[in-house]
Amino acid sequence: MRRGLRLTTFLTAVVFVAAACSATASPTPAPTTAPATAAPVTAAPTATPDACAPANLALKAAGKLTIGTDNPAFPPWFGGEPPANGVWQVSDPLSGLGYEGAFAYALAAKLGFTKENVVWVAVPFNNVIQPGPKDFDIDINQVSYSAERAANVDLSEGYFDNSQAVVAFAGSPIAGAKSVEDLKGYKLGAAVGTTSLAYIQNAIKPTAEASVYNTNDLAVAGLQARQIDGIVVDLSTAFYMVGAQLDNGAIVGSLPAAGTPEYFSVALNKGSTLTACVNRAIAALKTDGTLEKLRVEWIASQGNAPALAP
Amino acid sequence: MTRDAALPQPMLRLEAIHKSFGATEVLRGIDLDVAEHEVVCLIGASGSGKSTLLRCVNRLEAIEGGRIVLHGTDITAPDVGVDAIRRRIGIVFQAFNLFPHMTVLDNVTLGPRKVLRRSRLDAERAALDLLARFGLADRAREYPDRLSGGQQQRVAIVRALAMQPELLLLDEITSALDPELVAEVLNVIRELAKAGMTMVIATHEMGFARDVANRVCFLDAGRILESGPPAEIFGAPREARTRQFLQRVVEAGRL
Amino acid sequence: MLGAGGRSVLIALASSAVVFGSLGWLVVNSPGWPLLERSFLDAQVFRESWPRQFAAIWRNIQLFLIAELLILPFGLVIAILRSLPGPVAFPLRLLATIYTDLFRAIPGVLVIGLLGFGIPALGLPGVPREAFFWGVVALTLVYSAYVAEVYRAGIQSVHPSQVAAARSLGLTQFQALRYVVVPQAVRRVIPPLLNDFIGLQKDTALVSFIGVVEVFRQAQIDQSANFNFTPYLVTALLFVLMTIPLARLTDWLVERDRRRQLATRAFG
Repeated sequence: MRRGLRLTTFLTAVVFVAAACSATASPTPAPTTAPATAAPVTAAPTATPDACAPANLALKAAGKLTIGTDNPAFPPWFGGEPPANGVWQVSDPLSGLGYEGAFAYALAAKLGFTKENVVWVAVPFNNVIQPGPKDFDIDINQVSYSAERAANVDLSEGYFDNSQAVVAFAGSPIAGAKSVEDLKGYKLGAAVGTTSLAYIQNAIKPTAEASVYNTNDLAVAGLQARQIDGIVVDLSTAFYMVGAQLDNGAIVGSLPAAGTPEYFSVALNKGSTLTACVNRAIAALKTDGTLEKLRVEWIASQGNAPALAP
Repeated sequence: MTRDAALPQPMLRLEAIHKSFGATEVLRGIDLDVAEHEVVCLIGASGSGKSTLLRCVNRLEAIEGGRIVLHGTDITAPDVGVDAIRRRIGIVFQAFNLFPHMTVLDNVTLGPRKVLRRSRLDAERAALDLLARFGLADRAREYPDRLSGGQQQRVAIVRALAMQPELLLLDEITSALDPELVAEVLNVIRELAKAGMTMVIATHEMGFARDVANRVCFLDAGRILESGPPAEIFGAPREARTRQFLQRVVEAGRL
Repeated sequence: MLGAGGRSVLIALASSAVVFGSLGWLVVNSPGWPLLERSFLDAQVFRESWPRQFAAIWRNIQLFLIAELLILPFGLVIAILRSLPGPVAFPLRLLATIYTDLFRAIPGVLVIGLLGFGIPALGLPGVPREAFFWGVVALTLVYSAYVAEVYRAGIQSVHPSQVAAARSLGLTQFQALRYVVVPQAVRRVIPPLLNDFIGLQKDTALVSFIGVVEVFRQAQIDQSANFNFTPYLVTALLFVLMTIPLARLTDWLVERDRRRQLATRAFG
């Protein structure tokens, strides 16, 4: 009897000590506030140029712009040969080649960061779009804008208009499809959690259940195993698949935009102070024709895919 | 030598049987003849080799020296089919060794059906007859775990009999039973003896041995020290060690 | 008043109330709780995800039912091959040993990937391509290795006196194995066999690697669409509902067989 009572008291004490400790030890995220400047703070709808100067930005590393992207970094988004023992595979973001590679440095320049002050970190795609604090200032990684994603992270204005496409083997029956309707009878595949998969389920609605893979690379394996007839993936990845991953692959066509046209956004921490600055920079790059130039250089020159009718 | 001159060919002849387990020699030259319809009881202290001897006869154990001849056939010859031999010899163990996952009836009919290739119908009919003879017919569809020890051992005997063996070996079959269950099993053996079954019985039950045996053999340290009719062995044993052994048995109240 | 037993019960209840109550209070009042509640316990998402996952789990059920029907006999064959006595059977024992070593060593998802993507890609005539088919094959090969070892332990646990009794009736070694040893061995290893079966039920999720949309993949799809982890809770619940009745059934079977075994156990 005495032992039982003693144990109960002990357990109670342990629990209350733990409660006391946890109440004080839990960290609260530092609220992002506008940095105090010498000039009077006015409530402006858009950021004033001063607030966007590199010295005034809340950065991960002072004076440096930390940009995140996924590893491996694939063309046509990135280019250049990565160093042999380095972190990056397939392409090297530091080269500034590829659409997003070039765009990143152009954006950084517009924000006032020189090439030397740009730092790259490898961030898996899934980590970018989930809620929670991030390891980067901005992330450039073919992140398609969606309202659900915008609830978790800040998404900038679009810097690239994307569309979905269908990849298959040249000469296979599906390669003759001319419209979305024609695709309904085939077994399609896509990567989980992508807008491509949503496109299959909401716009194409094929009769056979689609195969869903962890990554686009595994979808390619599924195509090579003839377990699916075609892969739905965004247009530029389609170019990569056909160019680098498949023997005898072909882009069946690019798919009509279902609903609002898709575009890539730069991802930032939720409530980041850089968001307005980045938007301003992208608008500038759009007006001065840089984005179009990059598109022609890195995407369009790789050939056009026929547009499929709805 | 204990050969009965009237019967030129004994049912079972054991010649100079030697058996060792590793470095320990357990049987050191056993000679024994068993005539047809004869009941031979083996008595002796634990470790004297009684069980081992029986297990050698049906070749559960291999012998290192000697010969075993069953009805004229040398069953210890290297090219002899051991399964065919075992068909002819029945054995009942101290621990019953019934198959727990089968009913009593299935236990009894397994051998006849799979070894003697009888049909299920024939085998079951014969089995039920046998079980009825020993008062177990109403238990035929039960599993062994529902039977008392005495009943289980009787089923084990029936299982051996169902194969219609020429010779029955009984290895201390009552040693694992509660005292009140021993009698029912011994009665079965008495009946079998009366019916003319040839048996070699290793036992601690001296009273029973005196009743049922034609001959009693006293085993001591791997040899048959003394052998003769029960009246002689129990009434006037020749060897000192036999007398010592029986003395201890009497003191333990088992005679 | 209360006896010693009653006092113990009261203390146990009081202790539990204090510990669990306090833990519960701790959890609900921690800073992350509202977010946790939204992320894991969202009723709306639960309601939406449930029907989709309930439909998808039939894929898993098909996978593990078909696989288990193949695993149980195949595993037994491997176990028997490993248990065959005599020098003549050495190559068979060796093959069986290599098989069980290999397929217990290689991670299941790897086997699924190698077979599911690799073999169809060879384009051999007459060889099926479907991901589901290769998923079943891969699961069967992997789990048969574990199950074979379970059977083998069971076979070795059957007391040699059972074999002695069977052989004494004139049964051959193989007949003794078939009618006496294996039936007993199998009954004894029902708990570890069920354990492996439960493991198999979970491992059907690995087949999503080759594109099959089963319940875990469906949960993943729902989770990434809503940025909510409640779909995973749905999956957990579905598996709990499936596993618990199975566990109780096994307990009953085991108890029944244990009784029979103990009654005929050797006394000396």
